[in-house]
This record gives sequence, C-alpha cells and structure tokens, in this order.
Amino acid sequence: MTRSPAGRSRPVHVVGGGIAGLVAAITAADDGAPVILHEASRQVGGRALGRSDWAGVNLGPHVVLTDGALVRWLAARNIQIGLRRPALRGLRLLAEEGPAAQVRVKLRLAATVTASQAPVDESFREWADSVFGTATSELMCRLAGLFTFHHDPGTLSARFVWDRYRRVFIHPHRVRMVAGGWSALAGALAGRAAARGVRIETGDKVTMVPDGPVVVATRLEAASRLLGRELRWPGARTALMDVAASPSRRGWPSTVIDVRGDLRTCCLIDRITATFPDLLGNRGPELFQAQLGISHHTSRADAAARIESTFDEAATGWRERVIWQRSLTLTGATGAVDPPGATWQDRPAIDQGDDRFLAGDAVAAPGLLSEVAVNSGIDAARRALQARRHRVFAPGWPQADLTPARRLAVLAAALPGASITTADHPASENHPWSLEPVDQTGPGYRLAMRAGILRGEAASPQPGDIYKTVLAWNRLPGLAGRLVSHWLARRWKK
Amino acid sequence: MLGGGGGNLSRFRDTLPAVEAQVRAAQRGDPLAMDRLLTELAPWVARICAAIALDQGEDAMQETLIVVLRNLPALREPAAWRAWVRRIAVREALRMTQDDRVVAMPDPPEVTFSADLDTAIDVRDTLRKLPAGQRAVLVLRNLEDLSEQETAEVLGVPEGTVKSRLHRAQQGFRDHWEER
Repeated sequence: MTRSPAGRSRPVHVVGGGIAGLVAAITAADDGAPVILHEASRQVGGRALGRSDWAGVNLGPHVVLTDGALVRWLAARNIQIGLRRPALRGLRLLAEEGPAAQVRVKLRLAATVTASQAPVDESFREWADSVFGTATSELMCRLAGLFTFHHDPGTLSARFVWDRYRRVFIHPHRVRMVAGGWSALAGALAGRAAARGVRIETGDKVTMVPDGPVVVATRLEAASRLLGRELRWPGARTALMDVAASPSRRGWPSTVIDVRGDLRTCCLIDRITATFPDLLGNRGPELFQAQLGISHHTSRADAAARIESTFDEAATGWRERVIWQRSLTLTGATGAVDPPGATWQDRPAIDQGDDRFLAGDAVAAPGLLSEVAVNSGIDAARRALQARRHRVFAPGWPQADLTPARRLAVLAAALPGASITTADHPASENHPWSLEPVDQTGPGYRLAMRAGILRGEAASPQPGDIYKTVLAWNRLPGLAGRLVSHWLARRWKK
Repeated sequence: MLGGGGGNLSRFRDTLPAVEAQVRAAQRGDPLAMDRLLTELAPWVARICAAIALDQGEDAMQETLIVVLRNLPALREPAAWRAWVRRIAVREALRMTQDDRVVAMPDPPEVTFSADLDTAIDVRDTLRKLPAGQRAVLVLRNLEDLSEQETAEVLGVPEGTVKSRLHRAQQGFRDHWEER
C-alpha cells in the first residue's frame, strides 16, 4: 500500500542513498518515524554501488572489522550480509628492507608497543621516527596506505594514523571481506529500509532543503551546495585497478603489499577470488583489485603503470592472461583523513543547525573508513529524531510523574516472587532514612542489587509523615524465593 | 555538545541512544536494567497516558510500564521498542478511561490542526471536554505524529474511523479552545 505524503506528517528526510543515508533512514524508521529517502541517481547505494560495467565488480576492495560499528549495527538488526576472512596465507610483502618475514615481525612488534596515544599535533612520520626509529617508521608510514588510501600517510596526524594502525594490525583476525562488496551491503540495507516503510525516491535530485528534520548524507561538495555553506575536509586521491585473468597453474599470492622505496605509501593487490573462489564462476577467471594512494599531480596513466609494476613483481605472467582490465582514480571517495592538529571531532559537524544534520564518511564521527559513514548515519538520524520529537512534543500537554513509590510498584509487579510493603514513619530530624537524592534517579529513591538480592526503597513525604515503600526480590525461584523476599521486605520496612 | 537545544533537550539526546541497550539488558531479566529502562520510558509514556487518561494518567502509566516489563521477553525486535510501547500505552490509557465512544460520520474535508501548542497552557481543560477516543487520535496524530493508517493500527479501528474522530476532535478542540 502506498501512503500519501500528506498522511505522513513531519517526516525525517534523508538526502543521499549511500551507506550513511541508508543507515540513517533505517535508524529513523526503526524508531517509528516516517522517513523519505531522496536519491539523485536511479538506484540507492551511492558510491557503494561502484560501476558495474563488468560482471558487477565493485570499486576497490571492501573490508570491514568485526569489532566495528558497521558489523555491530547490522548484527543488532539481524541484517544478513556475507562476511569472510580474507585468505591471507598467500600474503606477499614487496619490500627492500630485507626478508619479508623479518619485516613482518618488526611491524607486528611495533603495533603492540603500548605507546597507546599518539599526539594529534605531530605528523605520524615525526612521531613514529622518535618512537620506533626511522627505518621502522618509514615502513609503517607506507603501510598506513592500506587504510588511509593516501599517497603519503606519514604526513597525516599521528593520532589519526596510529589509532587505525593499531586496530588493523593488532587484530588482523577481525578483518572480513564483504561478499558481493559494498553493493551487496547497499542492497541489504535498501531491502531493510523498504521493509521498514522508508519511502525511497530515486531519480530525485534535491536542490532545496526539505522542511523538517533533514539528514544530508551526500558527499561534502553536494552538501555544501545544498546547505549553502562551505563544508570541506581533506580526503585522499586513490588509483584503482581491477584485473580479471585466467587462472595460472603456478598460483598467485592472495594479497600483495608493495612497500618498495619509490613509494611513500603502499600499493595493495587483493586477489578477491582467493577469498571468494566462485565469484566469477566455478573455475572461472581470477579477480584482482588493486589500490594505490596518489598525489594530485600523478596522472592516471602513471598510477596505472605503478600498479602494474607491482603486478609484474608479484604475479608473474599475469599480462598474458588478462581477460578484462580497468583503471580509474577516485578523489575524496575513500573517507576523511585528518591532518596534524585535527581529529575527527574537527571535521564538518553532524549538527548543522536548523534541524539539518550531516552524515557520510567525511564528517565528525569516529571510526575507520566506512564506520565513519555508519556512525554518522546513526548519530544524524538520532539527532533528526530528537529534533522531530521536539517539534512534535510541545509544552502544554498534560503531564504525569512516575513517583518513586509507583516505580517500585511497577518493578514489584514485573519481578516474579517480589515482595513490596509500605509503612508510615513519623518525619523527624533524626529519622535514619534519608530523603536526599541518592543517585540520578531522583530524591527519595534507592535501588541496589547485592548477592542476588534486590533492595528498593522509596520515600514520599506526607505532612508529618514519611510514607516508605520497600521492595525485596531475590533470584531463588518459586515459594522459597517468595518467602525470602517477604521476610526481607518486612525487615527493611522498619 | 554540538548544536542547539535547551538543557532539557540535550539531556534527552544523551539518554536516547541508551534505550535499545537497556531494552536488551532488561529482556535478560536484569532488575537494574529494568529500573533504568523505566527512567528512559517514563517521561514519554507519561505524556501519552496523561493526554488520553488525564487524571488517571499516572495509573495508566503504571499499568503500561508493568505490561511492558512483564512482556519484554516476548519483544523479538528490541529496535522496535518504541512502536510496541506506544501501542501498550494507548491501550492502557483508553482502558483506564473506559470511555471509548466512537461517532461514525462521513469523511471530512482536510482540516489542519493549527493550535499553537507553544502557548497552550490549559490544553488539559480543553482535552477534558473530548471523549477519550478522540483524545487518543489527537495524541497519536499530533503528539506522536503517526499517519492515519498507523493511528488506525494502534487503536485497532478502521482508517475511516480515525479520520472522522480526528475531524471531530479537531473541531471540538477548536470550539472548546475558543470558548475557554
């Protein structure tokens, strides 16, 4: 059944149907708000969709961490996506610093160093030089390209790089690849949004900010235009190359990390079919996806040549076996990077005033890469809901209070075997039972659990009296539990 | 704290994300989590109950919260707690008033509810003059901001009934409001 717009008063509008927008829309809809999602293109998914010009191959490798916001949020909502541990057995490190095994040990040690916080104001290179020595530091700077997509991660804020470095390298077992890439995720999210009653308007390019709480979940440039203000944050420029090649009998590594000295970052190649063998059909071609952070002066051709040199080194004979190949560059599409002196809190704020909220991977939300989009989507949606509720709940309507005594009565009725009793006490200065607030729950209320026994007390002052309510409950089942509660309640009443 | 909003609003902002977590903990039978959940739910449930049941608002709220806590384990999707609690609150508030007169009438023309709530001080007295069923529609449409269809679902009545009740309620509200 379609609902008329008039029938859904004061909806939450979400502009942009990427990961952040979809997360925001579902979060708001789960809360019971009517939601309209405006997506300029023909289908939702945003950048997540990539361009499916060949066999539905997504843009770039898609990795999540199991302890991250995205995985937790999906699990809490029982939204199913396929996650698989990357096949790391065939990992190959191209380095000049010595045998790969030695380099790896060095880096693992570096990651576990408990210099837990890195400074915000220094660059990662400066800080890592002083902590780990220049040789290790240089390698670490390059490896940070894995999760920053930046051409020179050493120039970024030490705090920014180190926080991410530790998450990725201390717990590599938490890394998962998303089956079907981001487009599968976007599909699952769009399905849930539709099931939650989100009205998805595709082909709807929003040029004026809709009235009511709005989550703007577009790229920053589009958000700037829409909101009429400058919203900027540094991002990375990244070259991507996808290669499909007929399988080689000699076997290719599953992952190649090229940290050779001509780079200030690293070039990563993932053999996606090592993790998802049937991706391009049973015994079908192998799919490689490569990424390399590049500066604004590097041409696409130079970037492609550099990526190919990594292929040459790690996957001998690949050129003869290529079936399909594409290369492209992305600017500001791989998430925010924080320069020295800045943290994620300094990025464009989620709350832009006037009930307008930003979401996306370059706004003020914590997390690694896509987690920023998820966290900001959730946060923006909650703020939008709050704004909506504030508009809706105006003062003037009748109010009621949950008094401490009523509150205990509710708990007593809900807890099987609980016992509740009341007594009058003369209000005197020496009365042992205080009416002072004992915690944030307010004055005259106390609730504590010790050794499996719940003790609740509430006091309501009456003229000349204190009306005292006592609740007792314990974990023992059945009659025994009830008798114990009863006995405790009578004892505490005095 | 980013953005605007009074002290009251910012307090709500801080506590709101906690609700779902509290629901889950309370589902596992943790009494302290149940108690914290009461802190989160009470102001909102109170508003619904008081607007429908008026003087019996506190009793309705108490009944609602008992039903909520007792049936928490049956709530399969904690994320959907809000709609579930709302439904219980409306039902308990209506039950408390025992006043569910329904007046059927043809679909009314579109009327916009335009009372300026910010300046409404004696909404309560005006609401008192309406039957509880109409108050419930007003609460769900204007306070809870549900669609007509959703309102009908919560109340378990046809959508047409919601339309007519809303029309009557708005008419009645306006009449009573002007003669106050």
